Amino acid sequence: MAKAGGITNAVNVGIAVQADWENREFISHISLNVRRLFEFLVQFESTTKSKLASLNEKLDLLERRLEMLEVQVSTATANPSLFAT
Amino acid sequence: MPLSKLGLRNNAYGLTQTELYRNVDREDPKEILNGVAVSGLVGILRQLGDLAEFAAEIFHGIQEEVMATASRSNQLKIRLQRIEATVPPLEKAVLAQTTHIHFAYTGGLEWHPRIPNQQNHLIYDDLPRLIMDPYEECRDPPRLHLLDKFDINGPGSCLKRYSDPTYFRRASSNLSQGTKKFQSNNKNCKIKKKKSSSRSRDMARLASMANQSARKTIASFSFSGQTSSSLTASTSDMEKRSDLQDHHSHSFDSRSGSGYNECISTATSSLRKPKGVFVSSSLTPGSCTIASVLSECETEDAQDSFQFSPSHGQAARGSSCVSWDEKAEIVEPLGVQKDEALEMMEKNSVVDALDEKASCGEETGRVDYGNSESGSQQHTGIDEAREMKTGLESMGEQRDSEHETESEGDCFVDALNIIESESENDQGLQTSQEVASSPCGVTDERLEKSVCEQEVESNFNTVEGSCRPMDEEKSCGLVETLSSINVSDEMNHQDPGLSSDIACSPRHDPCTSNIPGGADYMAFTFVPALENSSSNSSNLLYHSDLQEHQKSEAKTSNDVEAIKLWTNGGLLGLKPSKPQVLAVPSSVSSDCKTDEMKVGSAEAEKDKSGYLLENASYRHVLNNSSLATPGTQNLIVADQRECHETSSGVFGLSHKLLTNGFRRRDSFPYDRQTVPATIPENDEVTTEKSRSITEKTLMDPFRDEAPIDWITSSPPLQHMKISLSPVDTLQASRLKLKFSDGNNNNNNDTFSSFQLLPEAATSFPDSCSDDDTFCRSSPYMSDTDYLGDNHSLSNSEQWEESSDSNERKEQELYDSFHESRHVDEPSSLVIESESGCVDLSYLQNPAEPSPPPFPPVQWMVSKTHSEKVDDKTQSLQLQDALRFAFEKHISLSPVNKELPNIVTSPPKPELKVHLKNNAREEKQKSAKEKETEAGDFLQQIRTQQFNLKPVVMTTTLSAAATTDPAINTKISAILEKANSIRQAVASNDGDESDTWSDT
Repeated sequence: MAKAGGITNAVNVGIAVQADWENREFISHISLNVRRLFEFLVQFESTTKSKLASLNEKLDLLERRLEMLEVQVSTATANPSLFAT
Repeated sequence: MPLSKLGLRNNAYGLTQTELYRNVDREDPKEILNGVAVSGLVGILRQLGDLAEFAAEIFHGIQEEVMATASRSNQLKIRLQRIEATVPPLEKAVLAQTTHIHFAYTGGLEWHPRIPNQQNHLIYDDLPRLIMDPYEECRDPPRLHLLDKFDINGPGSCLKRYSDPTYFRRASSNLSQGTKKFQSNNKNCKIKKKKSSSRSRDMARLASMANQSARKTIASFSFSGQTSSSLTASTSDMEKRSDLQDHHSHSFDSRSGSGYNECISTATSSLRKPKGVFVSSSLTPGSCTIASVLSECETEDAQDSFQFSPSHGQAARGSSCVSWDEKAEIVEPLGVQKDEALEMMEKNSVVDALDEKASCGEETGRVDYGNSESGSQQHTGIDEAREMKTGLESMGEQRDSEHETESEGDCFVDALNIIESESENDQGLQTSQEVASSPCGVTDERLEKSVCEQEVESNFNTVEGSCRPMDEEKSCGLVETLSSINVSDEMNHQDPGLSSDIACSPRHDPCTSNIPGGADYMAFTFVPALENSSSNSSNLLYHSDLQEHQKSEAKTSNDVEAIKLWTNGGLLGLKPSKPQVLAVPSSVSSDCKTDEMKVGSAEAEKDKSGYLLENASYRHVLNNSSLATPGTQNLIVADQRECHETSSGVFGLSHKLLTNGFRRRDSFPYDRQTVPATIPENDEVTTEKSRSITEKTLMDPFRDEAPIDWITSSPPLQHMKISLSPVDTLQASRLKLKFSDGNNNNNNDTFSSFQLLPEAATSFPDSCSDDDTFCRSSPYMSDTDYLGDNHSLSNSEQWEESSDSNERKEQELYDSFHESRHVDEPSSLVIESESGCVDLSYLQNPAEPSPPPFPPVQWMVSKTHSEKVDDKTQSLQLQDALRFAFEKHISLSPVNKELPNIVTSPPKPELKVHLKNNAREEKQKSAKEKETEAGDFLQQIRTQQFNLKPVVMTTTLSAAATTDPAINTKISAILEKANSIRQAVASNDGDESDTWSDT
């Protein structure tokens, strides 16, 4: 009995160790994927912000041009005598 | 790469607590393994949590940016729609125009950029952490809201009141008013009155800082959450509110407040102080300019009375005017002689120095001034000197007062004084320190000395001379005083209510300008600086003066520009406005002329001289308004003075530049004249050189080595003469070539070789002789000369070497000529000895038409030799034939006389050919040689003919009878030879160069 008990105990320990290895492998996979997600987020942020920055620059340019156009239009509308020929 | 805001923790198992698998039963391995697995899972969960947080942060930021961008795009869209709505009618109007050309002449759009300053760029949130930490770590503000129930105004009133900096400013002003009344007899009151305007400016800045700090405290209140949102309002709102609550604050004692209130009081005391200083600074220009008249106590009283009433500034000005009148009254009746005045001035200087050192009252000094003002011609210089001196005194007083201020901790907080001193140093005024470094007594003495010199000479030139002993210290002192006055004026301009006091300072201008004779130039340079500083002030007198001086400027605008150039270029190390300095000498010379004219007129008419001087000074000063530094103006005085001396150089570099410019300018046409026109290449080279030199002078005016190099680079003509003089045989042609242009100037040092060499090169082929060595040496010589001269001209720095090389080459040339002569002479002798017809004398007469070239020497020698041999044989044969015929004629009867002509004719063509060959030579021989050699030859012919005559008579019959065929063949052979020789000579004319050069 003792021998059988010892064997079963050893088997159980082996099974537990094997399960532990499987758990460790699972945890490492999850950790690795989390890392990949993290890197993806960092890259996503950088690319997104760069694109937003370029978009903002274009918007700045458009705003300036629009301001110029507004001033021109306002000047033209404020001086109707220019067109009175 | 953005900075990592969050990091993923690496070890998943290390993220959990170790108790999960350590506090288990060690005998049960399953538990241990389960604990380890659980810890790993927990670590993964934490990593996922970090990831989620990081992702949330990232997406939040991106969302904000996207929202901002979207809002901007929406705004753009709205604006664009607005424009779209407004454009069609405009488009219709524009398209309705028949001609659009008038749009080109319209003004276009009126651009008024709207620069919104809606938010503060530097707010407390943007402060760095180092500065924000004390605010965060400081104690919370006192709970003033607990006192609201005791206040009439209800909740929040105590907090508003005790956190309002304007309240403490007003309270402190009231307190200072009371204390100043108490301290009116005390000297400590001088401190605030003599404060410079820079200090008041610093105080204003400190006030803003205090407002900022007060605002921060208010903000800290807002953090406590006990106050309303109105606490975060700006200080202006707080001031407005505090004005309403001012009547409630009289019963408040700042000393009874808490620590927070003390802090507020220290902050607001800085606001109290600027108020006083700001008022007192309004009187500093008056004290500077009218300090000789106004006593210190008067100013004190005036300040005491003016301090809280700006309308008293006008009263102060009026008092100063009265003092001027009083001064005039004092000056006019006193008619003390100059010696006494000098003595008094010296005494005054000593007394003033002592007064300033002892910081006694200025009343004694003023009395001394009044005593010393003697003589109508002297008082101007004295007054102006007094102005400067009083400026210095005021600065010294400011210095003393500031020291006293620092010593007195009762009136002001020490920290604020430290801040004031630091701010003064920061703003670069440095007036008090520099004045302190230079003792005022010494400067006053020097100034008095200068004034005494002015008195003695009482002339413009002497005034300028009196400006000479001014040291830099004094000028610095003047600069400092002026700067301080300017600053005070600027500060007074900031206060509109007190700006009327500034009018006192330019009021000196007409007073000083109307005084005839002995006008002090320093004073004129002194005063306009004030005018420049106070140009914004509305002073009619000043404007009238300006108009007058603008008229005078209009008269001499050219001078003005010249002076501008000078001042910009020489004085301050700035680049001149016009880089072309070549135009400077003319303008400066005109300036000097005009100045001389003005000085002459000044000497002629003394009354007008003052005006002219005034004009000159104002003109200088107004032209240098951009510089606006009296030191430069003093230097301009020196400039004008040295222009009179026609040295036209005040500034060392500009003087050198000018002198060099004159030199170069004189030298340029001269050099261009010296360039011979017959040498195109060298002319181009030299003109290029001259151009490059002119460009150098234009581009680099401060280079002084250039003219020296230019002078030294030209080779001396004596050198060339010496090198050429020993040549005897060819010297004639060479010297002739040298002087062929007619430019026999001895000054043509530079291009003497150029005149010689090309002519020599062109003349040598014409004048080439039979000598090989000469033909070889002449191009070599010319090459060497070219090289040497080019070298000497191109490398002007190495002229010595080139001159040495020229000497060597000329020596070689000389030697070669001698050798050629030595070679020539034997050859010519040989030729003469052999032929007697070759003559080189034509070489000595190059003016004659050049003879046809001669065949080579060897060939010619051989030819002549053969000819001579042939002649000899021919003559021998003739003699033999004639002898034979004569014998026959003797033997027979001589009947026919026609034969001698026939017989004698054949040798005649031969002789003619021979003579024809030698005729060219004989023509060009000297008369002696012609007579000797040709005479001998003709004599021989005559003798032969003479000998032949009887023979002919004898041989006619024999020749006719016999008709010897051998003689005829010989004669024909001789004729053929002569023809061949002629052909050879003709062929040699064609390929002359090859044969002559090769042989």
